[in-house]
Parts: sequence; C-alpha cells; structure tokens
Amino acid sequence: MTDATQGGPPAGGSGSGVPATGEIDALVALTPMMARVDVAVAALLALIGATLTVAMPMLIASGGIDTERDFSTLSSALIPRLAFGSLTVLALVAMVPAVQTMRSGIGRPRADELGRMQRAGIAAAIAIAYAASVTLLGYILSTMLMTAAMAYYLGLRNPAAFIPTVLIVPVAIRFVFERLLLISLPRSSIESIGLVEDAVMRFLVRIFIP
Amino acid sequence: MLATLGQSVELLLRWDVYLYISAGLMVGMFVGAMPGLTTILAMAVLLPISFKLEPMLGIPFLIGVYKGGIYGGSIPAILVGIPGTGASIATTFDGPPLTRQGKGRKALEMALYASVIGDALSDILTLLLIGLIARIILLIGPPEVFAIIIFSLILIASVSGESGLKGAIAACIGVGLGFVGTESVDGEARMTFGLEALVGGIPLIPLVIGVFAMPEVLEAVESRARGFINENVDAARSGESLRWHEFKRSIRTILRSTVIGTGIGMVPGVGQVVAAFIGYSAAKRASKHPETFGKGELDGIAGPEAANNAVNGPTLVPLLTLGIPGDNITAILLGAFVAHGMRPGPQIFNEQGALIYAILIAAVLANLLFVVLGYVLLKPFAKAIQLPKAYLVPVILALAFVGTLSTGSASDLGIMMVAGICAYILKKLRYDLAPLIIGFILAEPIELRLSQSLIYARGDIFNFFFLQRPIASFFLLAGIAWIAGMVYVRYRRRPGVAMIP
Repeated sequence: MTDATQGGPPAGGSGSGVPATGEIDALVALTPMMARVDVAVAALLALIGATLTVAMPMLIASGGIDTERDFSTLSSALIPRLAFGSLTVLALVAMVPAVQTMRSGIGRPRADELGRMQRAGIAAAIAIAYAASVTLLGYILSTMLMTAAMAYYLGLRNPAAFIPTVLIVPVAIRFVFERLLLISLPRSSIESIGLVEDAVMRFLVRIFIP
Repeated sequence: MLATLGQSVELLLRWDVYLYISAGLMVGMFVGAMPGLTTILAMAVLLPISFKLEPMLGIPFLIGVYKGGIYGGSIPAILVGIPGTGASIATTFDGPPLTRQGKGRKALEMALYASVIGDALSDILTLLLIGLIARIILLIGPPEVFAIIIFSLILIASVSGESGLKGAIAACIGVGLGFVGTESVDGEARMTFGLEALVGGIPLIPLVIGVFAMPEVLEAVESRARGFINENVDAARSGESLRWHEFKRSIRTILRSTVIGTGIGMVPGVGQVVAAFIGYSAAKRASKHPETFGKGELDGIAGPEAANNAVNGPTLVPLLTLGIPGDNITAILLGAFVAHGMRPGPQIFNEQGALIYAILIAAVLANLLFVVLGYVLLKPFAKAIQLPKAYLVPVILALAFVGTLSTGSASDLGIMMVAGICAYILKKLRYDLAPLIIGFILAEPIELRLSQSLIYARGDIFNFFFLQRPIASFFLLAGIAWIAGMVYVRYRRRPGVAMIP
C-alpha cells in the first residue's frame, strides 16, 4: 500500500510538512473521549461474550430433534459457545491497546466533537420518533413529520423548497413502492388519517395508472 | 451446457431486464457520486425492492447499482478531489490536477471507459471460469468448506478495516447474532429470550439496513455543512472530450489493471480500494514518465479505475461457488440470492444453472448500458454532487424505513434502529462493519459444516482435520499463519507499544 501511494500524495521529509511518526500516531489515535468509549465498549463486549458463553445451555429451548445427533459432544450450545468465547477473548485483548490509548492521552480532541455527537443524537432521536409513530400515524404523515423535522434541522428554511419537499417526498415514496413495487406500507391506525391517506393514493392512481 | 446457455439467452430476451439494470446503474452512479453516501447504503436500502422483483430482474438491478456506484465515486474524486467511495481514493491523485488544467472532461471519460473495459473483461473471465471452479468445488466436502469459510472470515476481518482485532470482534458479533433463532442441525430454538419474533432468527434486511444505512445518515448530520461538499463544481467548464490517441495510450494500463483487479477480486476481503492503489502503482512503474503522476496524468486515472471495477465480476466467484461473500456488497447480493430461493454453492450451477448464467451474462451486457448512461449522465451527476443534505437525508431515512417495512413486520423497525445505533457507535470506534454482516450470513454454514465435520471425525478432531483432510488443514493452517503474521507485523510496526504489557 505504501508503494502504491508513492505517486499521489505530496511527498516530503520532516521539513516539508509531513508529520513525524509521533504526530501521525496522534492524528490516527481515537480522541480522548472516544478512547474512553472504546474501553467501555470492549469491556461490555467481553462481559456479554462471557455471560453468553457460560449461560448458553440455559438459552436453548427444550425440543428439537435430539435423535438426529450422533456425536456426543456436539450440542446446540457448542458452536455458539465457541463464537462467544472467541468474542470474549478478543474483546479482552482489544481492551489492552484501548486502555493504553486512553491512558497515554495520545489522541487529540477533535474540534466540535461534542457538538457532532449531539447533532447525530438529535437525528437518532428523530429517527426513533419516526419509528415509534409510523404505525400510529401511518407512513405518509409520519414521514411528513420526519422530513419536516430533519430538513428544518439540516437548515432548509426557504418555504418554497421546504413545503414541497415535506409534501412530495412521503407521497411519492408511498405511491411508487405501494402501487408500482407492491410493497405495502403501514396505514394509520387512526381512521380519519387513514381515510385521507387512502384518498390521496386513489387520486394518484387515477392520474398515473389509467 | 449448451442447453443451459440457450435457456440463459432466452431469459435475457426481455426488455425489462435492461430497464432495471439501467435503473440500478443510474442509482449507483448518483449515490457513488455523492461523497457522503456509499454504494453499500444504496444496496442495503434497495435490497427489499429486489425481493419484490423476479430474480432475473432484482439481482441484475443490484449488480447495476454495484457497478454504477464504484464508477460514480470517481466523479467527485476527479472534479473536487473528494472520493465518492473508498475505491476512488487513488483517482484523487491525478483527477484534480487534470481538472485544474481544464481536462476534467477527459479525466471523467477516461475513468468511464477504463471502468467499463475493466468491468466487462473481468465479467467475461468470471463467466468463463466460474462453472469450472464450481465443478472443482463440488469435489470437496464439509470439512474443506468449513476451513475455507474460516480462512475467508479471518482474511476479511483482518484486511477490511484498519484494525484486524476489531474486524475479528465484529465478525464474532455477526456470527453470534447469526446463531439466534432455530438451529439448523437439530431444530432447537436458541437465544430467543422468550420472544416469538426471534424464533426465526434475526431478519437480514433490518439488520443490513440498520448496520449500513443508519450510521451513514447519522454521520451525514454530524457536520453543520449544507452539502456533502462545499466546493463549487462547474461541469460546463470541464474542457474537451477525450481523443482517441489519448485513450489509445492508456490501453495497456487498462488491460494491466484489469488483470490486477480480476486477481484481487477472487480473494475474499481485499476489494476495490487495494486494487485501485495497486493499479495506480503498477501504471506509474510501467510509465515512461512516472514524474507526471500526481500532476495530471490520464494513466493515473485509467490505472485505478480499471482495477477497481475489474474487482466486481470476480467477487461473484467465491460468492456463487462457495456461498462466501468477499465484502459487504457481495454479502448483500448473497442476501438477495437467498431471498430468491437460491442458495449459492457449487450445486447452484446444476440446480439453477440457466438463471445463474443469465445473471452473469446480464452483468456483462450491463457494461454496454454502463458506457452509454455514464457518458450521457456525466454532467447531471457532476452537478448533483452539490445537492444539499436537507433533501437527501430525509429521503434516505424514508427509504430505509420502506426497506425495513417491506418485510411486513413493523417490529423489524426496532431491530433496524437498535442495529443502526450500535453500528454507529462501533463505526465511530473504527470497527469495520463488513465482517459483522458477513459473519452473520456465514453463521449457519459454519455451524452446519462444522457439525457435519465433527460427525465425520467421530471424536478424533485433530487427526481428521489435520491429517486426513489435507485441503482443510491447508486452509486452517493458512488462517493461523495469517493471524501470526498480522500479530508479528503489529509488533514490528510499533516496537514501542506492546500489545500486552
């Protein structure tokens, strides 16, 4: 890979703007905040892996076709135990460099890191609310609300662009997928909203599918 | 064989096959051209659509997305130096200098022609060899298949991300998740935690959409920037078209890179990024003017672009002959094959040979559409890379929900959201998510083949695997040697930091 990149990126020694090895390590390393999360995730994975390895026999429902098995040590728990045992070992091994990175403080904090995480968190909250509302409000209305929230959040303020986006995206998607690709999407469990959805779809069918 | 090919040709005599391939190519090129979006996102979101179509339409549609996406990434790489996909990173070395010299159009056309030639030749080679490879694979038994799967998984986990260890953890998580639900050997329900919804296992579609689409959506909103790129792109001022004599000079580079890409494509896990870098390096070494590379050299576009697209066809070899997806894109394709009732493996050529060959021939013919659409749509896609995120993100999220809801179960939205948020956290911690999905898909074959092997071994596992089955022992030892090599390289590279204090 090193060879392959020779021609492209600007070359140079320490005096020509290429960072030294220590600087590269600092740039490549996780930020202090993410390094702490890395340790926590590795520990959590090790814990989950170990728990599932030990508890696997208890997680197997009785039943199945026991007589099909003709090798005494082969059971439904064996292979998952191998997988989760491997996960435990690997997660424990991964904790070592993760703790080293966290303690060394080698990683540089990223500008606006917390803000970036917050923005992703807000987008995740919008997506969760969308998932929670889709069966109650139906696909069209919940998608309209999600589109409005997400587009506004991402800076779309011009009403001439905002309103058509919010109205057209959900209706167009529902029409294409439900009528042309036969993928049925949830209708609102609130009857009055469901009736409006049905009317919109009937109207579009009359126009586009003669 | 001739009869099978005759049936395949019959399947191809339908206009709608080419309509769906064209649609796939256009979607792929559009998504590939957007630096914040990836081909894998498009394939994950569009996977359910392919389920609703016949296999002869749905799978070529996804193959079109795949082909178009890899090429589409070169558009922003050339115009603004931002790769649309990882496969186009090497294209950024010579693309922007060419654009600055007023040769952007020439570079874009060179990328298109190199991509199409690399893709078409590797597809033809795949078509010619795959049946033979499948026949050879039919001769091997469950221990060998198990050993090849494990070797491939080690390879994929170790080379697909920046940390082999994290790749291996992701693979183990995927395999573990694959064990949820009814066991394939004796039908016992496992890890269902009393939930009826989990008896059939974790469904693939919400998992794939959650793992691949949600992190991209969340990453897209992280930055305050209005669009995925801020540079102004003036496609109208990209210069003249490529001349024949300029193209002729790069033919040798294209053919060399096609061979490189084809070879790399057959090895699971290595993929387009590595192929593109090697293609670039080989073009530079073979050039009489290596000093022009990095300063605006058309060979510097032809080399990586032919190599990265030449990977596409051969990745289908391990997928179709062994059922082993080499990367996340082929993992999604495997999902599509399975959903259409086709279980990839050597026997698929006997059971559904006509359909498989028809799909492979469609992949070859798709290149004709690829060159036409690529040429016509160059300018619109070059403009589209400036589309604001406020339009794209809600559409992607809405489509991701449609994909998940297409399974007919609203509870799958919960699986998608949980998988998506977990995948986002793992991605931020630089876990590669491809081994997770590949591990998930391979969990069942791993369990089945290992169980069969253990039954054959009758308690004498070591002798059976390492003395009686030389092919199986070769792959298992190769896997162990690979891990040892990775650990050694890690120690050598960072002598000051020991893995274990």
